[in-house]
Amino acid sequence: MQPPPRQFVVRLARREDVEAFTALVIDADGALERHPESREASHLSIETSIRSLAGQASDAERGYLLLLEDVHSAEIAGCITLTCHIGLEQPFYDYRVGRIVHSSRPLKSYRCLDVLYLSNDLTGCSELHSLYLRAGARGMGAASLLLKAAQLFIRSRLHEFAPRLIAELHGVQDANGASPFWESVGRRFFRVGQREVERLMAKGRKAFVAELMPKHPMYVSLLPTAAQAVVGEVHHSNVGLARELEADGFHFENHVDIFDAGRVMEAHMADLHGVAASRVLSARDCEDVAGERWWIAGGSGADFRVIGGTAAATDDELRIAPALLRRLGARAGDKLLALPLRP
Amino acid sequence: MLTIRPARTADLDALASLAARLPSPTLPSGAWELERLLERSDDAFAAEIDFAGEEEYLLVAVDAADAVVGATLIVAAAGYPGADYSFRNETIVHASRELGVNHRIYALALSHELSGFTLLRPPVALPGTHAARVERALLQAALSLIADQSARFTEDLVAPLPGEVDATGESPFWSAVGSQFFGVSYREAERLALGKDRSFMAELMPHHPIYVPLLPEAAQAVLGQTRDAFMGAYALLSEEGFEGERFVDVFDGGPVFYAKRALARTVHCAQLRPLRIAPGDVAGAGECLLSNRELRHFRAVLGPAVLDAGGYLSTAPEIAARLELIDMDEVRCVFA
Repeated sequence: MQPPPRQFVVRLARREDVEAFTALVIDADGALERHPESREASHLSIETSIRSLAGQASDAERGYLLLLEDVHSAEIAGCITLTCHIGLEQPFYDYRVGRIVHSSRPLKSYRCLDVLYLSNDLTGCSELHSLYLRAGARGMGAASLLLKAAQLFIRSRLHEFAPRLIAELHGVQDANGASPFWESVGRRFFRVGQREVERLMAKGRKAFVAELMPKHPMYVSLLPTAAQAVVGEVHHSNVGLARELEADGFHFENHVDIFDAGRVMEAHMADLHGVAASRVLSARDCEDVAGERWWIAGGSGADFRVIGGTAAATDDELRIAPALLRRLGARAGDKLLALPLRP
Repeated sequence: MLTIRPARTADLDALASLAARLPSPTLPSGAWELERLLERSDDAFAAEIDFAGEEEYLLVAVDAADAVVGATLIVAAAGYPGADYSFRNETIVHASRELGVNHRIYALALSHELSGFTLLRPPVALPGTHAARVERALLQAALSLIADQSARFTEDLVAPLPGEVDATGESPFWSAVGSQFFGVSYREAERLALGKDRSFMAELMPHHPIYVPLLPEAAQAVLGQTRDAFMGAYALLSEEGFEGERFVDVFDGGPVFYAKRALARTVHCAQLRPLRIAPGDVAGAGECLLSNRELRHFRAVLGPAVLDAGGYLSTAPEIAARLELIDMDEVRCVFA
């Protein structure tokens, strides 16, 4: 017999989560590259989130750490991070994939060339990053819950975010986990391993990246073949995520990661599914709701919580089971933010 | 005794056979093109010139029997009246205090910097035991002519050498770089580049610098390298003090040597002396390239000569005769 699906809630990280979050980062084994494996780093991430909530963080540091908690066991099973403005302290780099036409009438030659331009175009944008789930929480819609929770959180504090939101997807890796783009491009400029570079990046030592980066535009067709093939391509583990981001209003706007050439997905906040399609409704408790699946956010400030569940909406009310309301920490009559599972 | 003089129409057949034996950018392989080059060279030597333009000066080396054994070509202004394209090999230091890293990265940037500079085509000589000596005399003679005719040439000199090609005649550098922008074969591009109108190149060349470390190994390996046939010229230009590191050819990545005219060894080591004709053997004579400071009647001779105590350059009557000089005429000389 299959175990019943686990129930999760997404909420903001609190001071007492420091041990559990550190354990999650260790479980991620490097996948949470922006969150170094140390109690101090976890403490810092959580404090930043708390200070942001209190309006005490600067524009450059403001960001929120959202955790996925198992409703029954209280295990911290995943996370997602929102940074309100990237690149305001240390520059944020990407490559913009531009296009140049080389044509000659006398030669009857016409060549269309893609060019990688090192850019800081995305400076000041908001970023969705560090999405991670423990193995036991995967394949149950928990990733969607985290993504929608982040969007609903943005909606609840829209003024704190930039007009544009980005999310980086992992670039292609070979069978050994190495990035062909890094191996044939970056490595030749850095002469240290990608892991080492990312470790230093995670420690906030990004200044060295700027100093070592190729600053001239690079013609894609002049790159080693292995690198050409992966520019703007998505790692197989991120294909589902890519699809979901696209459904949520993200587009590939020709920015790629400087290390693995993976896609940077971009969305205008106003077009973001969680912002554009979510509705503020009053909670009305009701047993045996025959409705549809919704992503529902309740509570404000530190008590912000998001779940997925069955509910039915009218013009201004959301009929919802009392058990789900309790899970949200809300009561009948409270304002909820609800996003239909399907548009 | 080797004499270098302006080429004449009568040299056509000899030059055609030289061109057939030694493909080079110095001598066109087609008889018609060669004839046109001879005409242009004749015109150049005859013309009143105020500044370096499209003139081409073709010099030939003849042996004691007046047989043509080599040739070289001087183009007064590279790319004239348009631009001359080359890649400047730029150095970019990638350093990080935090990483303890400091290394140099090279990038090739399209450059017009060499436009209008006097361009020396590599000297070519009939294969044989004296080939190296002939090539050297041709290069020294060309530099002597340039030194004496300062208004006709420029203060900066460039000397491109053909880049390395593989066994099939294809250039690995072209395959990696040029073909991406031109979409034509190396041979076709070479043909077009040697034609008069190079403006098409501007439209097709890469505008952004190209990082050398990102090029395929085969392309990197031939960067700044020339073919076996021009290794002699490579060594000669290096000896003359030309630098081969800063510029490479846009098509095949071959070296483009550069030097200030005044600093080329043959120019700055040269002496201008009154000639003294010494019948019989000249005691203590060393091999010397003598030239007569003329233009249309330019002559340079490689032979024994000595600077005597009185400051005269003593040499044999047959050398003076070849130079078309008499006693006390001023002669330019460079000792080996």
